[in-house]
Amino acid sequence: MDISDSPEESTFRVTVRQFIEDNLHSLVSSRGASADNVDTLKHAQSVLYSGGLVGVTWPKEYGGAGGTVVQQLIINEELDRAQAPRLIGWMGVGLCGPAIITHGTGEQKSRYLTNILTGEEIWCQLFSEPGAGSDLAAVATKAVPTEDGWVLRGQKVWNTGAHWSDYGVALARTGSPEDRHRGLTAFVVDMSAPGVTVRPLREMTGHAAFNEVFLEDVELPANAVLGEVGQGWAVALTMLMNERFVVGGDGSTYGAGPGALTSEVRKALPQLSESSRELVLQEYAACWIEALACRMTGNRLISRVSQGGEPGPEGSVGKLALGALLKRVGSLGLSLQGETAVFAAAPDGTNHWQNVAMFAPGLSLAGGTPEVMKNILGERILGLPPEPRVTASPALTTSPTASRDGA
Amino acid sequence: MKFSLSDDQIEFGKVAGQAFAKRSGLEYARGALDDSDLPFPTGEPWASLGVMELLADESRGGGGTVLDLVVVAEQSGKHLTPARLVSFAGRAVTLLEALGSPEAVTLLEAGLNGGRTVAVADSTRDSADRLRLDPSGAVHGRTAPVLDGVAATDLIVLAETDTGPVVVAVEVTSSSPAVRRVDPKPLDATRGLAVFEFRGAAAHVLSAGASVVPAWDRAKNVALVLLAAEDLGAATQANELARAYALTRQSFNRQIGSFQAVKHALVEAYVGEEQLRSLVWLAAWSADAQPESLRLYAASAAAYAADVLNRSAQTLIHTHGGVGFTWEHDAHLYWRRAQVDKELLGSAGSHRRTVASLNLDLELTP
Repeated sequence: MDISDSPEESTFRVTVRQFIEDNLHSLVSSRGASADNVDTLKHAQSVLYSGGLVGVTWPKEYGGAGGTVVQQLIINEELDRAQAPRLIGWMGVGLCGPAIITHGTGEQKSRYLTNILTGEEIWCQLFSEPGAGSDLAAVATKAVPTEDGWVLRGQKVWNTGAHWSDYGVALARTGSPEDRHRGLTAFVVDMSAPGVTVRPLREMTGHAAFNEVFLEDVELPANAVLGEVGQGWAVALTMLMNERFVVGGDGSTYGAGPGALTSEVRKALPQLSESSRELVLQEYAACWIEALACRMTGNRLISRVSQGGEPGPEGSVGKLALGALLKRVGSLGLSLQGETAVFAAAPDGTNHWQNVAMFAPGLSLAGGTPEVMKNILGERILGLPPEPRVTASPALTTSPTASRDGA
Repeated sequence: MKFSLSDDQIEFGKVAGQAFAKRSGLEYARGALDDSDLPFPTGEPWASLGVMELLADESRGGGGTVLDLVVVAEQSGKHLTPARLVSFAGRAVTLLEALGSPEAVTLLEAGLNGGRTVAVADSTRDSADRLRLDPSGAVHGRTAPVLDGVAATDLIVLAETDTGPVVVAVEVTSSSPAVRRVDPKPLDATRGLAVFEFRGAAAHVLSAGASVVPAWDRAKNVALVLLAAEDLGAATQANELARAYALTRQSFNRQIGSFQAVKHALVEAYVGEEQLRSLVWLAAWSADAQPESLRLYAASAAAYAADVLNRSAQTLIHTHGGVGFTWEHDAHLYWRRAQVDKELLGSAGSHRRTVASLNLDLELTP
C-alpha cells in the first residue's frame, strides 16, 4: 500500500497544478453555475480540455487521454485546491458520455462525444418524473413510434442544468407500464426541439439549478434511440452507477470538507463557555474524522477501479456517508454563528453556512434517497433478500408510488 | 496511489485468522464470566506465524510493517482472541526497539523468546496517583487499567522524576509488598485488564533523556492503530453474524433481512465498517510511511473505531431480538468488547479532543 502519489502521478500532478495556475484567471472568474455565467463556464471547460484535464479517463479515440481514475482524482483535488468551479458539463462528461461510449452507435459517438468534452454542448439527464423519482422504473413518459422516428410525451423533473443544456438523455416508456423497467428506452433529446419546455425550479437555497422539463409531442428521429429499444434500463444503470461514483467517490466533498469549519471553530471558541467549548470540539472532531473517512473510502474505491474494477454499488457508501455528513457540518457551522444563525446572511454579507445548511438535504436526495441507497447496498453487497415486490395490478399502476423496485 | 492490501497481506490475514480461530476468545470469555479464577490463556498456537516479533528489528526475526500487523489484528479482533497484539507485539516491541538501550533490548528478547511476559502501563488519569520514580530508583503511584496486565511478569512505565521522564521496567510477579495487583472481575475478560499500585517498587531504568517521550508516544499511537484494527475485526464479525441471522430467521413469513427496518440497520453498520477500514489502513500507512501524521490519524481511527464497534455490537443484539440479550448467545461478548475498548488507551472523547486540537493548531485539512 502506498497512499502517496507514484512518481508518474507526482509528475502528472505537477503538470496539472502548473496548467491550472497558468490559466487560473479564466477558471475562477466565475464561481458556481448560474444562468448568467454559462458562457464563462463553457469557456473555462474548453480551457481545461485544451490542457487535457477533461475526460482524462475517456478512450483516446473519443477525445480523452486514456488515463486513469487516479489521474481524474488528482485533477479534482487540484481544481479544489485552486477553488475552481465544478465543470459545467460534468453530467455530460461523467454520466451521459460514458453511456454513449458504452451503448451508442458509431454515428452517435462521432457526433456527440468531442463536443461533450470541450464544453461546446452541455448535457443533462431526463430521468426523474413527478411519479418516478427513486422508483425510476415507474417512468410514465411515453415514446410512440412514428413512420420515421418517435414522438415523446410526458413530464420530467429534478433535471439539473436542463436550462442551459443542449441535449438530454431521456428515459421513456416504449412498452406497457406493467413491464416496469423492461419496457423503457433511452433517447437523445435535442433540448431546442419544438415541444421541449424547460422551467427552472427554485430550491430552498434560493438558487435554481434544476428544472421541470415538459415534453409535448416532441418529434425525434429514429437515430435518437440510445442503445436498443426496450433496453433503456441498461443505459440508465450505466448513468446511475457513474452518478453515484461522481457524487460519492471522486474525492469532492461539496463543502463538507471542514476546511472552512476550522476557521469558524477557531473564531467561535473564545466566546464559548467551557462546557459549550467541549461540545463544539467533540462535534468538530467527529465531522473532521467522518470527512476524512469519506475521502479515504473514495480513494480506496478509486484505487480499486484504477486496478481494473468497475464502479459498483460501493459508490453508494460514499453517497450515503457524505449526504449525512454535509447536514452535520452545515448544522455545526450554522450554530457557531450564534445569533446570526437565524439570518440569511452574516452582517458582513457572507452566507456560506446558511447556504451549506440549506443545500445539505439536497445532496442526500440527489441520485436516489438514502433509503434506496440502503436497499441497493443491503441487497447487492450484503446479499439480503429484496423487499417483496408488489404484483402489478390495474389499481396499482395508476398509482406508481405504491410499487417499489429500488431504482 | 495504491490504497489496498497486497496479495501477501491478504494471504497472511487468512492464515492468521485460521490460527486465531483455533483459540477463539469467545470460549474463554464465556468461561471467565462463570469462573473468575479461570487462568488467562497464554499458550500461543500462532507463535510460528512470526506475529509477535513482526515489528522488531530484522536481526530479531522482524522487519514487518504496522500495516502487516494491522492485518493480523483485524483477525484477532474478529475472534476476540487475547493475542497480546496491542500490548506486546504493537506497543512493547515498538517502544523497546525505539529505546534501543542494552537494557531495553534484553527485556525485548526475553519477551520474544517467552521468558518474560511484557506489557506497557500508563499512568492513571488522577494526578495524585501519577507514576513517579524516587531518587533511590523505586516507583510510586498507580497505573490505568493495563491491557493483558493479568498475565504480565514485567511492566514498562513512563515515570516522572525531577529531571524529566524516564522509561523503567518493573517486575510485577514478585510477592513484594511494594507491588499490588488489583484485577476485579472484568467486563470483558479477553482484555486481561489489571491495575497496579506501586509503593516503592524496584525499577530498572531502560532509558532516560529527551528521546523517551517521542518513543513512548509513537509506541502508544501504534497500539491505538492496532486497537482500532481489532475493533474493525470485531465489528466485521458482529456484522457478519447479524447478517447471517437476518437471512435465516423468519418472521411474518419472511426472512427478517427483507424488512427495511432490519436491512437498513445492517447497512448502516456496514457503512461504518467500510469507513473504519479506510481510517485504520490510513493510520497504519502513516505509521510506516508518514510518521508526522501518525498522531492525528491514530486518534481519528481510534475515536471512530469506538463508535463503529459500539454500533455494530448493538445492531448484532438488536437483530437477534430477545435471543441476542441472553447469556448463551455470543452477542454480549462483542458488546462487552465494545464497552471496554472505548475506554482503553484513552477514551474516544479524548481522542476526538486530540484531533480537534491538532487541526486547530496546525490548520490541517483532511
